[in-house]
Amino acid sequence: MKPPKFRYVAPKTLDEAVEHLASDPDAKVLSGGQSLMPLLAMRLAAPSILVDLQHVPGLDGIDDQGSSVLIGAGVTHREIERSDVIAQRLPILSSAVVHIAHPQIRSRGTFGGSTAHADPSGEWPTVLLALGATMHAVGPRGRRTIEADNFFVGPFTSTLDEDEILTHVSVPTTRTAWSFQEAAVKRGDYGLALVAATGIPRDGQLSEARVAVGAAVGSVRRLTDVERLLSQGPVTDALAEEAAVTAAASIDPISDIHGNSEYRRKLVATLVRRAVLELKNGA
Amino acid sequence: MSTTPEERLDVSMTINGRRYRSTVEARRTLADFIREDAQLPGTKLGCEHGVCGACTVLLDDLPARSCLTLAVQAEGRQIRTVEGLADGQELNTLQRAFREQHGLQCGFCTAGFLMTATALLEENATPTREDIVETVSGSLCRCTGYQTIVSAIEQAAAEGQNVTNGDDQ
Amino acid sequence: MKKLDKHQHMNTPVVAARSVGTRVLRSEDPRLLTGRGQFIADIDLPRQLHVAFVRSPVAHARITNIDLSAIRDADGVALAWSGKDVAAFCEGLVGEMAVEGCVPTTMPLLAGDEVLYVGEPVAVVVAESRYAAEDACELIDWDFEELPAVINMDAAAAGGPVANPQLPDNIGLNGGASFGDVSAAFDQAAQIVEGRFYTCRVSAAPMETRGVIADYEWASKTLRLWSNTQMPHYLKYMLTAYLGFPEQSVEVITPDTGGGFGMKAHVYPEEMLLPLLAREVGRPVKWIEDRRENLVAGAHAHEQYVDIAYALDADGKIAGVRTHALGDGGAYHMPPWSMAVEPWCAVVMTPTGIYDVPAAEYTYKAAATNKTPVGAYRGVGYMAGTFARECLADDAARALGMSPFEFRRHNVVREFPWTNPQGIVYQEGSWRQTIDALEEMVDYTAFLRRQAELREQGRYIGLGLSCFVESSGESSATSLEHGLADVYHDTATVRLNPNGTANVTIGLSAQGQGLATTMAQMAADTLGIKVEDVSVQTARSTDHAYGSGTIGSRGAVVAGGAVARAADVVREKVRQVAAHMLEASTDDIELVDGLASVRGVSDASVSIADVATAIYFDLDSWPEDFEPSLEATQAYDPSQAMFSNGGHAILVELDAETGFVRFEKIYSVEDCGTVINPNIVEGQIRGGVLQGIGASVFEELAYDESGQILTTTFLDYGLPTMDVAPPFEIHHLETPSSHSASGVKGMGESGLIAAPAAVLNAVNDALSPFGVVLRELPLTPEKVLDAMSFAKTASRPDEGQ
Repeated sequence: MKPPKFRYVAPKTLDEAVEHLASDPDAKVLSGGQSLMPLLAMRLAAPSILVDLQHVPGLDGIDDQGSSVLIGAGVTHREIERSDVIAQRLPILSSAVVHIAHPQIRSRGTFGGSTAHADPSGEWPTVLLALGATMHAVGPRGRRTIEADNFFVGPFTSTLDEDEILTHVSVPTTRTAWSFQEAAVKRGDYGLALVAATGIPRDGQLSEARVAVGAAVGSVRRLTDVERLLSQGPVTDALAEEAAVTAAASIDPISDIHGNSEYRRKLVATLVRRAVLELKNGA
Repeated sequence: MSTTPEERLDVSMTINGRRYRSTVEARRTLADFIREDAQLPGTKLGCEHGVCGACTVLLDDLPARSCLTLAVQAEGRQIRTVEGLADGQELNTLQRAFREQHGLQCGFCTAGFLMTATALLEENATPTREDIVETVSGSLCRCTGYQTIVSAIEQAAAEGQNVTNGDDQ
Repeated sequence: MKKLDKHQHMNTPVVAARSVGTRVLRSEDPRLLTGRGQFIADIDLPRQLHVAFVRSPVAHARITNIDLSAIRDADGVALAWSGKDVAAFCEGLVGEMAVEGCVPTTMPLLAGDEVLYVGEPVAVVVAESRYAAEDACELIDWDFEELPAVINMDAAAAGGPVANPQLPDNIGLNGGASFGDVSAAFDQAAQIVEGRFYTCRVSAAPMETRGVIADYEWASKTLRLWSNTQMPHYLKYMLTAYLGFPEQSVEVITPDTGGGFGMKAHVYPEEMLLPLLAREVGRPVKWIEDRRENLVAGAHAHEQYVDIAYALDADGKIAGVRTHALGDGGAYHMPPWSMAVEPWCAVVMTPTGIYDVPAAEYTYKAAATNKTPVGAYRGVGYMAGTFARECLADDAARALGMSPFEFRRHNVVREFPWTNPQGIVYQEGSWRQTIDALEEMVDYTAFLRRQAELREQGRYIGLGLSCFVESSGESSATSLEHGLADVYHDTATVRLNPNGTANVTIGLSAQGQGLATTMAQMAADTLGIKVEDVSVQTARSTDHAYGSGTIGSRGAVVAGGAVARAADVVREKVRQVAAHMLEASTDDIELVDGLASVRGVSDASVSIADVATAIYFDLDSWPEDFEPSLEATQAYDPSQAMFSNGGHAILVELDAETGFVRFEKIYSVEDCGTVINPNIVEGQIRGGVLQGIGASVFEELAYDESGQILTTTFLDYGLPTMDVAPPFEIHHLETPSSHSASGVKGMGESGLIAAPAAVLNAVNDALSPFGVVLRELPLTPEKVLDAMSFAKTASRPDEGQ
């Protein structure tokens, strides 16, 4: 299991990186490499050029900007795990990060890499969708921002163009009610189902709820029916149960050797119920 | 390093305090560089897709899968491998604890456990059993049933990482 | 039944235990802990080339065209062969077992006209590096017509599409036997309990994959073959028999090996191909299997159905047992064990277990399918057979309203020697004591109370029991006892050096069992010297001692016997010279604690080191007519089959919302006779039980309907990790064997043999409020949650918990 041949470059500036990426349709960005390397080893990916971002300045840093935290794409999972800013301002990220593989992966894998990879089983896509984060990208046509709702569009597919680089993610801190739930058989396994839920607590009620599901479905998505339900009144045990039933009815879960769709449907219902109850406590 | 994409590159890194240089293919994994170019075969390859943990080394003091890192990504970095753990020609505290607790059988996965545990103990000298399990669960062992590995790391923590002991039995 | 004639090499000396029984730290460890172990991937020969295989991506197809010209033209490629190229040298490996109803197959080294399973080697490439070899493999140009893939063993056994043209009715094995009046037992039964149990297809998945290096020197016709095999001498024999390499010039070298568990106890096509490639290219060639290859082309294991029925009399005693095993053998018989390794072993070795059953009947069948051949994995057949028997015991206990402990105690054999209906003789055992010990360890009354309390809170815990009897020390006698005629004997060489230290060589290769340490303990006690003064070489080269393979829980027993016998010859020399030096009779000399002493005379002694020095350098110390070699090679084979026994009780909790099975605690009782080294015995138990947990809950090699294997990485084939591994409480019983050196019995397989039954029984115990009994592995969260959703009595756990 050895990677196929490719060319490699480690540019020193973002412009240079964009240039290399645009130079060949099969050029790919290399960040931590923790998702890409297994694909290369299995020869399921065959990039022509790998553009290593490790020496590109400005992709690091966790910057508290008040109503949001700006997280550099090159920030590792490990840095998020140990960040006081994240723990205080975005505790849902601290809660989710320990579910990402293992410490040996978290030390290398990056926030931006995992986000751009758009793995339906990925913790960050699910969490960022639930938080309504904003992606900052740069490409040959300049800079742009993409809302999470418009970013994750399919399994391993984002709306980032082939020649664009994700540089930062702006994560709102206003959603102080939150819950992250993951069902995985063993520590570090890909989850069988993930649910992230957030909202803004207001007068003992929850407003602007966002609920996202991952792993159990083909690509991460919001559960808008559940969100509507949550905005209809105070969060109670009965509402949590209704949310679970609604969630189960509104998804079309995947079926594979790790769990069939009916099983995953039950799991999502359970996780949604747990998430809503936790939101209640947050609210 | 070159500013144009290359298929072969010069790479240089420090492993266990010694500088290693070579010209390698871009696709060469750090694991293969360590094992073959640097001739330090104590780092093992058990799966080559980042699950088993046998290839774990310390990359700038953090545990990392050397099969999931390219050699060229480690340009200029500091690497530590199992060959660098012993205290002179004596087992260090952690290695001795593994022996005393029977924390290894075939020994193929052992380097990965030792390196992950080393990083853990350097960051947290008094880990709980739960801390150990959380940190070390990313390595697979097919022989021991794991309990004696946890016990060995607990023992090493209790004895202190920096104390070495040449007592052989 | 034919009995074994008694031979000289079956006697072992009686010695005082000094290091035997103690927790001697392993001599292997310093090397392995510092990265100084030398595993096969760590060995590089000058001028070596690297090998990679093109493997079939489809389950069953006819090859209509294969063109390797692009591969041969690729950068760095020295050689590429397809099946046609290799058939000239070797038609393939015949697989069969000498049991009734076994139809042999011949497995080609590279596929011929048809590929029969995903992962079957189709072409081989030799290149400058593994990277280059893999690059070249991608250039394969071949055409094939897909044929129907036979993937279901029930359907295969019934006929229909043919999986392997060599087995036109898909049957690789079919037979059976009956002992005692089974029909009467069932006709007169007060109650019959029966069930069909399924053990899923798994991989031994040692952390180190397989590997082979071959180096051939044509001028001297010398072949050196490195392989991490469990059977180096057998491999050497096969290289001679199949490929014609001159036996006297073939050396098989086994380096440090990263676990084998049976997967490495076969002779594989790759091991036969590498020497041919080395000879062809005139350079050493090296192949290190990658994990994907290991999961698709290393022997698979276990997959079979076992139908079992007990006839229970009015008293709740098992009056008869009927067992039928149907194995999914995969596409070929895997040499040397064949498809018989699972279904035949399951029904022949295990139906009575610890129970005093007077009549037994069995049938066995193996169906060929278009899947990877099934071979050996720790406790072959024993695992599936024990699983069916012990889970049925729980069904019987439930049917009779008895506790699992009571039912077992009610039926357990109490007097030894005991002869089972097949005529297999069990000399001794602590079968009843195992049940009692486990019941006490788990505090069953307290458990039942806690279980009831937790159920009130919507939590579901369960306790599962499983008792085993394991044939150990695989020998000619064991083979005969089970109706086979395999011959086993192993040698060891012991040399006492001038300063009173010893070197020992054994014929068994080691895969992590600590044989270098336990054999040093055996030699040290026999020679009367310190264990740290003994250095042991396990079978690193076939140029030294002979061995029949590290299989069948035989290492400690068989190598131990050979070491003790060889050391005893040297010991006699030392005693003779010591007697001469001390002016005493040889009969009165004892060798203990580094001294040769005259029995009963406190100050009459000389150090063993001084005696050794004298034998090498001082003619005056010699008695008359003395032969001074302090090196002896002796063989050993136990005179009778021997059986270890024990049991496990496993405590689980089921998560009613996710179906996850959490393992809370393992209680293990092991009786392997005299324990050489408790650390090592306990290590074998923990590791084996965790493999059993893996095979019960976490692991399954899955195929889709087209015969495509879906579990080709460790992401999809999930081994148990540290976070799911429970703590253990281990209790040793010691019922020594009357006929092995020091009373040792083998125990390397018992954890995997017996744990799955305990896991299923525990899960079924936890599921008892739901009225569901599961019988098929693996116990996936999906199956468990389904079971828990089944019953009306189920109530969701209190949300506030």
